[in-house]
Amino acid sequence: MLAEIQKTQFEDLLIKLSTNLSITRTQHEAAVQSYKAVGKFLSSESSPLAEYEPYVKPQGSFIIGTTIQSIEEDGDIDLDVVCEFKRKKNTWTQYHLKNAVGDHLKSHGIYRNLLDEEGRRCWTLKYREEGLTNQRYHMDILPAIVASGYSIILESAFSNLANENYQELKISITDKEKNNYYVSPFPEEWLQSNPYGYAKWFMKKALLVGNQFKNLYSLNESVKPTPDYQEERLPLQRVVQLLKRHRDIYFSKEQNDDIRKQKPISCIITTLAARAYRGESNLLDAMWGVIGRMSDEIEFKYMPEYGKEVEWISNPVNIAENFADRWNDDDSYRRNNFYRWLEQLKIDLHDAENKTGLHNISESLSSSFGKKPVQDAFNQLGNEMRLLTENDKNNISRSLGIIGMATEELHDVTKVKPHDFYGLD
Amino acid sequence: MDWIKPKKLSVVEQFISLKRLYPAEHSKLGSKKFVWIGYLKSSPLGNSYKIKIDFDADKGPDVFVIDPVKLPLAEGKTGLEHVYNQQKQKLCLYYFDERGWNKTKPLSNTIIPWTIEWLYHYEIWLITGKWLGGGKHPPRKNTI
Repeated sequence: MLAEIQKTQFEDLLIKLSTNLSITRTQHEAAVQSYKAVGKFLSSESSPLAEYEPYVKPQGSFIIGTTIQSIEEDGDIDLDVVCEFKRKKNTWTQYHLKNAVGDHLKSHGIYRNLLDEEGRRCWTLKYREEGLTNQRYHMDILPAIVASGYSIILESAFSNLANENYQELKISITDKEKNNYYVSPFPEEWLQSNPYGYAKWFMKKALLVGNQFKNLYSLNESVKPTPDYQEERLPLQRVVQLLKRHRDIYFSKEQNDDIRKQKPISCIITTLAARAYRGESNLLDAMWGVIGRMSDEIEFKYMPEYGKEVEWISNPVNIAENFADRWNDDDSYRRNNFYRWLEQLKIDLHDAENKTGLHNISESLSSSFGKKPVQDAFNQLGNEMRLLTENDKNNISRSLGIIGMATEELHDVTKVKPHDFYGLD
Repeated sequence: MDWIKPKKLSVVEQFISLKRLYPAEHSKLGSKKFVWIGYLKSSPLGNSYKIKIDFDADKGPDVFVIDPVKLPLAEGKTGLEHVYNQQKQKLCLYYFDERGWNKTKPLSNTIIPWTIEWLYHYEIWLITGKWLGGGKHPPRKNTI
């Protein structure tokens, strides 16, 4: 257990680390420009889709503020968007809608080259900005049919978090593996998905800090045509970022390809973390609370097809959907991977917390969360300390060392007077 | 109106005020000088270092890190930052101007906090390879 003042210092470090995992303002702006351009192209006058009013809107981690940097310097950032249609040609099936989007993208010189193999539900554009690191991302475009007046329903749902009607936010999507893919022209018979209902559910949990709503992050801002970069993060958002990052680093060290590819999926981590979060306002408390309770949030249901009870992680806005259904695949590593990773996270966080010496803490955190964001965090700490001294606001505790402005309840505090280190070297 | 000139502190006054706030593992008071050896912690999560202060009534304080005997260096670096002497690990804590130390200022609220601050920035430097504590360097002789 850390003493209070040590906890304050560790908390500061962890906050900086998680901030460094977030996408930057530049990346945010590039992503917004890119999906707006796609939307504009799909809805332009010359587009055969224009009459159905396609509109491209971000979804997923990008709107709930849990997107993280890739662990590789030039790795891809995920950007999920919905391409929503207010109407379609009456006879169109899922197949027609999906391909109407794909065909039009293929008619564009640049998008044709960026387009990846067709996905089960999405089209993927792989952006490769030459010469700039971290300007690489892949955009998953999910074609969908929405109810009339959807944007008004959405805005009101996001403004009124108390309202628990998630079903009004459902959208109909295409799914190549669904048996009526080529047949049904009725969107209500297609696969129903609810990314915005999920976002609302998550943000309700995230915004409730202590016992009051913190107006620190706005979902309505996230889905605006040109959303502002939201720099502030709530404790739950930071926890999810740290968890996802730890997963990425942990499985990057795995030698066995099959095991590595079956790392826990983000929606399982995000959902369990949100269910396990109890409004802790302190990041370190939130981390320990969430990782301690996460596995208790997994339910068990008897499944006749397996003849036994199996793990069930329900989609909070569609309880019939089990995010962990693939844990039951033959030869699946997913179940083991999840529990193994969660145990390792506890060990690693405990290890970092119990090290003495900033250098040792840095080594420990680097091996769990990656060198760059950890080094950058120490850089930021060092700069802040210098500025505090320069502004005559820095303090030491005679027994504990430099403490910045965290002087509460300490009885041996002395001010650090502004000065200049001198030196020949 | 004349400002009251701050009073210069005697060797004994310096010694007493230092020892009162920072217990020494070893100390020795002479007529014009004293030695203080004790431990200082860089920050709540940081390390403790054994520090020696040699105080001379004429020359002022010299501050050394004596344990670790050889402070590890940041990756790719050949020497410590802001020291007068690499082997002796003698720290340069202030510039000789009104912000720096002079005989009117107690070591306990200048030299010691600055030493602690040096240790903190040393630890950050060890991690990042960058000295972020600020400061001045004298102009190099070989630069024009």
